[in-house]
Amino acid sequence: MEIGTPVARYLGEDDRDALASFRCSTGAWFEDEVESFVATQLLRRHAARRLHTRHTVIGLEAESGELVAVGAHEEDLLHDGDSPFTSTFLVVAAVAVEAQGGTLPDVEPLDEGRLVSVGRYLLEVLMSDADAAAREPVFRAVVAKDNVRSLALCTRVGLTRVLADRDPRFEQRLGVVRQG
Amino acid sequence: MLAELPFTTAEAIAAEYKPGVRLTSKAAIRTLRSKSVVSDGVSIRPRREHGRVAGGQHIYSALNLDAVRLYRRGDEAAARKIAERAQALERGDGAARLAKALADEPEPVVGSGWMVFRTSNYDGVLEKALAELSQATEHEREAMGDAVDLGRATFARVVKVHSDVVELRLDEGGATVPLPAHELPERMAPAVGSVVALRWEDLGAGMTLLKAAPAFETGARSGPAYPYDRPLLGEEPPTVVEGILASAPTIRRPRAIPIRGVS
Repeated sequence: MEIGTPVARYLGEDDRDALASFRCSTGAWFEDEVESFVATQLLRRHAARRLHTRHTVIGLEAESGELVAVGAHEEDLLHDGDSPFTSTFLVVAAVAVEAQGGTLPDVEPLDEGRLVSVGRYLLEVLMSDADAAAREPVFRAVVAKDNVRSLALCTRVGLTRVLADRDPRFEQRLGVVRQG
Repeated sequence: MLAELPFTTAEAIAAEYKPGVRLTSKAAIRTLRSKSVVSDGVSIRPRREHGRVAGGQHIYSALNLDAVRLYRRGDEAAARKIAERAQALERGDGAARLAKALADEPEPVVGSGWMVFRTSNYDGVLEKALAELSQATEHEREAMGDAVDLGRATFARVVKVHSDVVELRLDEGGATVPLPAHELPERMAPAVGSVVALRWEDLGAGMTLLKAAPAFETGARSGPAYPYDRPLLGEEPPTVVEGILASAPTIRRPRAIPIRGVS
C-alpha cells in the first residue's frame, strides 16, 4: 500500500482527542500497551517530563489530517565507563493500523534499497529532530522481544547493539549515528 | 470509583459561606477564622520550568465546606468540630503528600475560584495522594455523620458541551442535568467525560442550591507504566554502555525533515 508523504508536526495539548482515538494495535499485547499509552498517557507524561527534559512528541499527518503515526523522544543519560553523556531515548513509535505496512513512494529510499515505510519514516523524523539537539549521537530504545517487526526495523535503522533490559519482556537497542 | 476532591480553595469556601454574594475570599476567611470554623489550610509551592518556584497557592481540606455550610445554617458548634478535623487532616502526612504532588504538577491544578482539575492530567503520584486524602476525608465525614447531616455528593459526567450549557449525566440513575456554562471559568471548561461532584442544598421556600465541583476517578487510568513511564534522569542508576562513544556508527545520519509547529 502506497500512501502520500505525511507531514510531520509537533503534537501537544490540542491533539489530545486525536491521540485518544489513535489506534495502532492489531491485538498483540505490546501493541495494546503502546496504544493505551498513546491514548491515555503520552500527553500527560509530555507535560510532566518537559519540566525536566526536552521531551518531544511528533505526529505524522496524512493529507486528510488523520494521524498515521505518533512518536516521541527525550534526553537520555548514559554512561560510557565513568563518563556520563546525554543521548536520545526513543520513547515511543507507533503507526496507525490503517497505515501499517504502508510505504511512501515520494520519499527518497534510504540505504536499504527499498521503499521507505511509514514506521521507517517516523523513526527518521524522530532522529532528525533529536539530531538537531545538542546531544551525543547515540539513540536508545526499549522494544518488546515479541515485537518482531519493530526489532527488524531497529536492525534496519542501525539500532543494532543489544542490551538486556530490567524487564525480561523487553530488550534495549542502541545505535550510533554516523557524523558528517 | 468516583470521589470528591479532598481539598478546596478559599474562593470556594467564600462561596459556600455566602452563596450568590460577591465576597472576597480574604474577607470570608478572616471572618470564618475569627469564629474558628475554618482551618489554616496548606500552602503549595508549584515547581515550574527550570525548577523555579512560581506563585504560591493555598488549599484547604474539603471538610471546611461542610463546616462553613453548617455555620451558615446556624450550627456553629458542629462547624467548629469539623474545622478541627479539617485542621488535623491538613497537618497529616496525607495532606503533605498531596501538597507535594500538586506542587510537582506541570500545570497549576488549583485555580482562582474553581479548582482547575482535569482527570487526564494527573499522574500516579497525585492520583494516589488524592485517593488517600479523599478516603481520610470521607472517613471523617462518616464518623461525624451520626451527629450531623453532611449530605453526600452525587457524581455526574460531562456528556455534552454546548456554548451556554454543559450537559451532565448522573452516575446513578442516568438522568441528565444541565449546568450553565458560565458557571465554569475558562480554564475549567470540562471535556466530555470529566467527572463532576454535585450537591443539592435545600434553602427552603422552594429554592434549591445546586453546587458543582470537579471530582476525580480513582483507579481509572490503567495504562502501561513500563517502559514508557521511565524514571527521570538521576532517579535510578544510569545505564552503562561500555565503549559506545568510540564504537563504529551504525545509523545513517537522518535527513533534515521539516517539522511543523512548536516543540
